[in-house]
Amino acid sequence: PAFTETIFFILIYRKIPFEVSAVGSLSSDSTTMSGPDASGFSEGQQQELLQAIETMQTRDSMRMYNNLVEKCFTDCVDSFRRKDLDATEEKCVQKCCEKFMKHSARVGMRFGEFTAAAEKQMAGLQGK
Amino acid sequence: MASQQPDSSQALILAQQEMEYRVALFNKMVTSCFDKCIDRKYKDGDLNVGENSCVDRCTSKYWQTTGIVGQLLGTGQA
Repeated sequence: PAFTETIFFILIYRKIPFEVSAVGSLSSDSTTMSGPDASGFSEGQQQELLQAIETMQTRDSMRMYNNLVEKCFTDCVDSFRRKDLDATEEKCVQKCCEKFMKHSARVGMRFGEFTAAAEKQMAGLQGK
Repeated sequence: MASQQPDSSQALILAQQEMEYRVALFNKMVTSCFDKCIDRKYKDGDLNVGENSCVDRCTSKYWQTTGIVGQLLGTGQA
């Protein structure tokens, strides 16, 4: 069956100046990046994992950046009579970004809560 | 043949895959709930109380949906 892994990981976004969210970092348990069974990994493998996390963060930050630009452009810019953004459009883009980042942070918070609860459940099922 | 624990190289791959899955899940959750809850007129840079509540409920329902789909996919393959 799918999703029976015993290893849970927490991602923290910090690559680009804006903090998208701290996935799971607000969970009550821990702010570490390794799950309960990380001790089973050798030093080299832990390094590999950390490297993989870094790579994912970078890739995801860039993806998020592009998506946000597209979203705010789509929602805010409709006329092309001039080549410069007017004051309304500029303000709209700013608010769009702020809103999205706050929204993303909030979702991250809830996501962390759900994840932590699920982890607890898993640990309970395994009799730990 | 019972597999007590995946060997550590397998576990590493599993862990990475799970991470990717989680990131994708999170991103889709953000996008879906943004589309469903946030007013596109962007009158303000902050989320109002209604939007906050909507986001909380949306994430909860999204998570539950994930659970149900996961269950059904699991039993469907068994």
